[in-house]
Amino acid sequence: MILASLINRNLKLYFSDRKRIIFSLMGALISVVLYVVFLKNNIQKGWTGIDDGVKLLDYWLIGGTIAIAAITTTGDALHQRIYDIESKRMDDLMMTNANKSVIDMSYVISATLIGLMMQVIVYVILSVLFMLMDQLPFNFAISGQLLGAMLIGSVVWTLFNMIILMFVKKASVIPSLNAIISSSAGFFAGVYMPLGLLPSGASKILKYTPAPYDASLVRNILMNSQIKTSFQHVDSHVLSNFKSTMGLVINGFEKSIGDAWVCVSFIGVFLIAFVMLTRFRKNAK
Amino acid sequence: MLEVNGLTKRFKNKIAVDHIDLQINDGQLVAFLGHNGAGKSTTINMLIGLLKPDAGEIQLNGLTPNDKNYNDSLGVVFQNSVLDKSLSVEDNLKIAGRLYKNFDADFQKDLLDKLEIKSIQKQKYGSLSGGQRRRVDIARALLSKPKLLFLDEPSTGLDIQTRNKIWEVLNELRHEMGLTIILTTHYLEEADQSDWVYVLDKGKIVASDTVDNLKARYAQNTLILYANDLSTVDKLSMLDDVKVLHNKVLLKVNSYQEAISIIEEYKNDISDFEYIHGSMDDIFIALTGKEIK
Repeated sequence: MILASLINRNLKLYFSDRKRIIFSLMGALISVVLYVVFLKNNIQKGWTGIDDGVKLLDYWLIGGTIAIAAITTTGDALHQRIYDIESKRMDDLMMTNANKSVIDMSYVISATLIGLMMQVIVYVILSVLFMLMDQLPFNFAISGQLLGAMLIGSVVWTLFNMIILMFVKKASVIPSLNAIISSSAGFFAGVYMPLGLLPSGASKILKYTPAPYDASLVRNILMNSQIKTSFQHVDSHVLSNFKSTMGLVINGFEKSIGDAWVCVSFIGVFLIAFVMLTRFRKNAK
Repeated sequence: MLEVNGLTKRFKNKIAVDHIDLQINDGQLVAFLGHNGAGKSTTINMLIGLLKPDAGEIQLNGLTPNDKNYNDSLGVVFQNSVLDKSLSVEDNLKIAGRLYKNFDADFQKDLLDKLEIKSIQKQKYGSLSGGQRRRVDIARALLSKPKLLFLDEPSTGLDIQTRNKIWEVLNELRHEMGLTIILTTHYLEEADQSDWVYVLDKGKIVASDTVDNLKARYAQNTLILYANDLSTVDKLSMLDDVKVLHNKVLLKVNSYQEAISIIEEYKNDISDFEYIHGSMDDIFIALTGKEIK
């Protein structure tokens, strides 16, 4: 009851602020604008040999953008905690029967739900956009898998952001932090530049973050059937070359399930880090 | 009800609260009077368990702030409005109510009636006027039927009607529920109606007593005599503890009997007189050397 009421509060606060939702979405959708305006033609040129290359590219972009949305929107949702601390709203919450852990848990759960909802919204917007632009078909059969992938993305990025935000005490830091995270999210998720085209040092670093795996997880689900059609008459090594260049196979994980496991492992690591940090801070006080 | 011994808090090198002792009984209205930075809010934050004291003990009906149920009997109206500005009054109160295990919906309805909140329920909290906001803050603080209510400068910036309305409801609740109230204030009339006053200065309690006793000790009554001519002014200025302002002579007197005897003695030389009781302001100046703002 107490937890549910706190979650309800956080969701209401997030969705009552239209500006916040729009800017949150813009953070993710900006990659699409950049793609359509600057990158699409360039990248497409290299894909002329592939049947329906444009459609593949569209799915690839949708997948990456969904991953960015998971990173930025969960962060935005978690900023509520900083606002609450700074405005002393937290003091008032602490006077109720809710304790600190329940209050913190409410931010995590709300951010996960918000992240999930915003990823769905991004998916719907982009699907409609590319349906109109490139006649991209909408595949209902993958909805379940896709939702599962989005949920995993949401959890992993909520925990990641929560750990970062534990070091933030002032709301004035948020805009700069936002700028850093949303601009790096595009690179980390391999949206501006496919993972395989990055220098090996950079791609090695990226592989130690959940970003490329989350993007790969969603992209594999979205692109699976289109890849089968597009690559049916092509040599298998061309396909595997394509997959590793586009960041669809990382560290040999061929299918979504492999990426999902990597993401779940990251969830475990972040969870342990989060608990240890909380304990450490408690003792330090 | 609440017993505090040797409460101390330091911020870096500055001592904010310096070995404070408090003894507050059930049903009392207790005022903390002091300037900004005197340590009032820091003391309250320690009493409500938000701030850890560096030294000292706090006992509320046998519980210490580290105990799990310590907050259960507390209600707090914070200095600044702390509810969610983008949510409606109704949503704010509904959400707050659900954060209590013993939430009583009928009691909430009654509170909304008493504080005249019903008509503004659908409005966003952020769009309310200062007075309306404060009424909602008080309703929120009372949702859990607290036994002890903390009011951190509840009337700052409020119009007189709102201030009166708030005190009307609080006094009713004191009567009905035996509510104990601790308030910090800049308003002397609020301190005036208190059962007990703690005067704080630089983190220390410089006086603690009933308003009447404090007045008797620190605030002398003033008798103002209006003289008809200069010779009377001269004559009156010979008396002890006198201040002369044009044709006015201000005398410090200890009792009304003393005042009457002076008036009797000079009744043929004066054109008028005023008798002014010593105020909390006088007490404050006597104790801290500064006027209250």
